[in-house]
Amino acid sequence: MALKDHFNPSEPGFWVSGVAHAALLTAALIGLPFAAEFPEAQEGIPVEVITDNQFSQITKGETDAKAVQPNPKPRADRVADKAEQRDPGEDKVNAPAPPKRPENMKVADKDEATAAPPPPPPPPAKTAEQKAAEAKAEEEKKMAEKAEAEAIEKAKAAEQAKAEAEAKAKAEAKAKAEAEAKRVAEEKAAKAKAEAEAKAKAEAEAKKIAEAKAKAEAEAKARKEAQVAKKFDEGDLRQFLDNKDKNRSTGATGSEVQKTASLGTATGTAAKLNPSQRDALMGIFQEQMKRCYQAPISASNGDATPPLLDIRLNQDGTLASEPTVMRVGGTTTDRAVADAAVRAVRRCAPYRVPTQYLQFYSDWKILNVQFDLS
Amino acid sequence: MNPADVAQAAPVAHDLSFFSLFWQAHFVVKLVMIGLLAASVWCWAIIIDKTLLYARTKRAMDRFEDVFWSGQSLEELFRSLQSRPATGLAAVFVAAMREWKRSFEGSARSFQSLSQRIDKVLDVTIQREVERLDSRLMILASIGSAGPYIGLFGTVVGIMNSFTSIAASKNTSLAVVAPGIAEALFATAIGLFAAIPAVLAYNKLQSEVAKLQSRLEGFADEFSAILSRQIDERLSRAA
Repeated sequence: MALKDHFNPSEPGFWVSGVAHAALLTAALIGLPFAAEFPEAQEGIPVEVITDNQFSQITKGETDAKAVQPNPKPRADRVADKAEQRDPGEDKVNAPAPPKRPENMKVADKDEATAAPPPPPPPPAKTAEQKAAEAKAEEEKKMAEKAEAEAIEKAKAAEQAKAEAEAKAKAEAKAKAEAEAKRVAEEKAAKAKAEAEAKAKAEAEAKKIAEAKAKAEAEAKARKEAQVAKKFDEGDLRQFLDNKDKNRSTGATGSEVQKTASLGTATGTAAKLNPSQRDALMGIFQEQMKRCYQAPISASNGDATPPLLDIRLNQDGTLASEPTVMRVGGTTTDRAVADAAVRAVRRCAPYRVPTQYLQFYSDWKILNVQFDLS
Repeated sequence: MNPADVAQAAPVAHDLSFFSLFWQAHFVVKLVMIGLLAASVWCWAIIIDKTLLYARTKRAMDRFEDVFWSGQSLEELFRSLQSRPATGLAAVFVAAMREWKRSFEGSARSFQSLSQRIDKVLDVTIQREVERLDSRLMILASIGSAGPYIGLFGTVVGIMNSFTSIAASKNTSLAVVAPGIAEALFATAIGLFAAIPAVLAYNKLQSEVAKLQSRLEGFADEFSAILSRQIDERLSRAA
């Protein structure tokens, strides 16, 4: 290469080219943006539609768990009373908060408490005891107390009930007096009767006074409450809004308690039966069910439609829930057959599951069995 | 591997400007890039020089032909051109005239094969002139043909290198793969940047040289014809 260390006007190529390249590089470094950046790609939200069966096979853990459990198990809040595995879920609960009690309401209650003491005990019927027999007196006293208790109850009830109670008490008193009179007829009949009557009268008077008092108090209280209720209280609104509880766990159940769900494992999907295994297992179940099946007489000619049953099993072969009929024919015979099939499934209940199928429990947890009638 | 850990390991941001592309590249790739950049500078230097030279030569030829066919005496023209180094048509003319003069200067007049000698001298001069015009054009051709290959070599080395790095990082996301590939491809880009102008300029300059050469040969033929007529006239006069 004919490099010239000084500028030759007849051959300026090297210098011109060098300067041009330097200028171009400088411009590229400083001025020209090399490449426009693409907008950063955001990950989409993955949406998957899964079937009921797939859902029951999920053993993957929660996405927001902090760490992977050493031996992952499905979540269970408590040990089930019945051996039933229930998947975790959330229950919507609207628990009503207890009614609020305004402050002035408390005052009203206090008033009531002080103003309405229990009515004073009735005067004891000592005079009758002295003259009457011991048993008779006791009975009398009991009856009197009963009448009093009733009267107190009624005093607190409505006006009508009150009047009835009064009449009843009077009648009772009368009846009592009569009974007394009969029993003590040989002895001092007239005297005892007069005394009893006098006592009953006195009691009735006391009752009347107590009732009037109670009624006045109840009216005053109702008035006060009405005044309180008329006032706007924003606390009530807040209380209404706070009425909604947070969603609670439905309480997943399992054979042992597992409070935290695992984050997931590399083999995050439950084991599945292959078709031949599935056929074999279904055959085993069908055979066991058929042993308990007794065909209804009407289906003896064998033209009934086989029903489709939904059977849910526990890991030990017991039924997790009552078997239900998913599809049944239209005739009465078909319905009878379906009922018989359900009975058969229930009767054979602990099913024998060969050990090699136990690991596939999530696959045979929910079975839809076309009940074979033959 | 825990998916949460993967999510936390965000890819390292890469600067993709020219300078960082060069600076992050492998040593061999750097060498290739520097070499290709130098080749680009050189090839543009040749292009500029040759373009200027051909333009100058063409202008000089036009001027010489004007003077030559103006009816001026050849002796005079020769005297004016003899003092300085001539190029192009002037060189051809001067060489032929010098041979002509030498044939008459000596005591022994050698007319016998003067025409052949002049033809030889003209041929040699034309060859020399064409060689002067043609020189360094082969460099352009070489850069044009070899530049992309050299760039490709740099790219292959760069990609090999970056694949090794990717394997070490155990991550195949595009954010990890892309910067290495971009670096490697930068070498090919520079190779093409040098080669494309070289090829285009080589073709153009080559055709210019061919034009100038045919013009030189045409003039040489004409001049040779003139001289041989002169020789024949003098021979017949002498005889």
